[in-house]
Amino acid sequence: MQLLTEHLINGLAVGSIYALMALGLAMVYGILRILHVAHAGVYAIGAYVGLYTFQATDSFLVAIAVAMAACALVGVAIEKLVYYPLLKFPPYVPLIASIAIFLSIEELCRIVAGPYILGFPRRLALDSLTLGPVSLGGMQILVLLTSLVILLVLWFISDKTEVGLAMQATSQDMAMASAMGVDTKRIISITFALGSAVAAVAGVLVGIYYNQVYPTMGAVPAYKTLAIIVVGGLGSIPGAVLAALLLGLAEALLIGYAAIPLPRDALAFIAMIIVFMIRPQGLLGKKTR
Amino acid sequence: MLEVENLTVAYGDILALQDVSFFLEAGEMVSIIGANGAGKTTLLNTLMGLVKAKSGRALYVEPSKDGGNRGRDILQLPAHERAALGIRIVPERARVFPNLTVEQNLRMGVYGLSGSVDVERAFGEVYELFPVLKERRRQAGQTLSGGEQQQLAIARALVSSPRILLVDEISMGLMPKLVDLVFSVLKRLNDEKGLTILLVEQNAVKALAIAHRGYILETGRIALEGKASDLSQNPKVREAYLGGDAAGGSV
Repeated sequence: MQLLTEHLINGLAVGSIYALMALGLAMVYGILRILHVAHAGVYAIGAYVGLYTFQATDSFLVAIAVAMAACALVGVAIEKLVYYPLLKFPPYVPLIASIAIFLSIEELCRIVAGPYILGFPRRLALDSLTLGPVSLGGMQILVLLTSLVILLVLWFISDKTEVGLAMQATSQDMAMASAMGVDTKRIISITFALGSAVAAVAGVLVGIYYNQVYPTMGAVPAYKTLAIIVVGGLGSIPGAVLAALLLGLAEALLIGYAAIPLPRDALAFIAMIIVFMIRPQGLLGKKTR
Repeated sequence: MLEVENLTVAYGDILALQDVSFFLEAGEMVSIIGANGAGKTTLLNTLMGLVKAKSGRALYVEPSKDGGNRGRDILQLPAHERAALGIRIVPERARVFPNLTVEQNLRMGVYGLSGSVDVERAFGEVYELFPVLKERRRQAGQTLSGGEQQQLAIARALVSSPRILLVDEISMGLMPKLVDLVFSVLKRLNDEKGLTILLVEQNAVKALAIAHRGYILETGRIALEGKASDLSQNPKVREAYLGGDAAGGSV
């Protein structure tokens, strides 16, 4: 029983990190219909910037903030310099560009930081928490709390502010949104900034959780998050969060707890194939688009 | 108020509009009649900024306080700046935001205007015009019937207190009773509030009945123009657009 709850909590923590990564991808797909593979590169940059800032300042909050700001800039640069000029071409063109950016970021990280696995200089001093039979590690509390805060802030922005409403309208019908007075170019940039900042948080959290930051750390998330947004329903943000949490839990329970002899990273794709077969629009996706 | 000169629009090599010129006075209701494919929707979308013009001008004369009338070529502005000038569209097939509620759709109508428009009052007014929208205000746009979506599209354009309302094929696919409602609302807005309206329609009978002036658009060119009452008496127009099956227009 205790083993089960430990796996459950671990699954929830991993799932919420997946959710933070997949969110930006779902937002970008929703607004531009681009599969933003380079998002995983942005996430790796976030981890590095967070690590270096943490080394310099010794503060988790400053590290997160600086990483978010840096990634927001990188995300907007990718959007303005690469995607926007390519929008008039068929969707595979920006997709290929995106893969190229992703590989370039990996190489850049290797050149700048070296091909090593870097760790955080010291473990964050976090107390663990025991609630009856359940014991939460300090890392898990940090990951769960940070993710929860970020998800709440994003929900608030998208549901309760005018900018958020404009983001939703723009992703549903860009031309009509502009006819309502929305500067859709600005809204697209805000979307990239937000999504990339959230990816930075995921990068820092993964770096701390596994105590590993390395140039190719985005490789597995790059395709795993694609599977997540397909399972959740392309373009559906709640769907992406739900699919991410379910995947984290499924990985922890099936591979970790039940010890099914499968590679952990295969699970996302098995889920994607099942979704394609029985519910192509995804868990929370719309039927037609 | 709006003066369009030699407007030409092309999709690739295909000319959709050729040297189209017309004008719209403040407080006027003008109908542009044409069959399917004549270029009506292209015309409105070009004025709104959703389609790029190849050449021509569209001078928008702002009713300024100091009495001067500076014309401004809106074709050079992006759509959202035209919206800020007070040009609003009721697009073909309504195009409400499918996953926003009725109320959120209306909020998009006053996007960026919360300082200059009394939002509560504006919403109250459109809810009075279209009571069904008030009933359904928490429902997603895509769950509304076609007629309700059309009403929402009109309401969404009206809440901003537009200067010029562009109305695209509002009668299409609506039950006759709703067509009557919608046309009477437009007529009242024009009569009572002096709202300037440009209407494009296949339904020539209705459109000419409520307009001051009209233009006939044929394969991308203005073929005829005149007072609405004269046009509806014109034998050529009667034959092509008002005869027997008026709704069908020409093939």
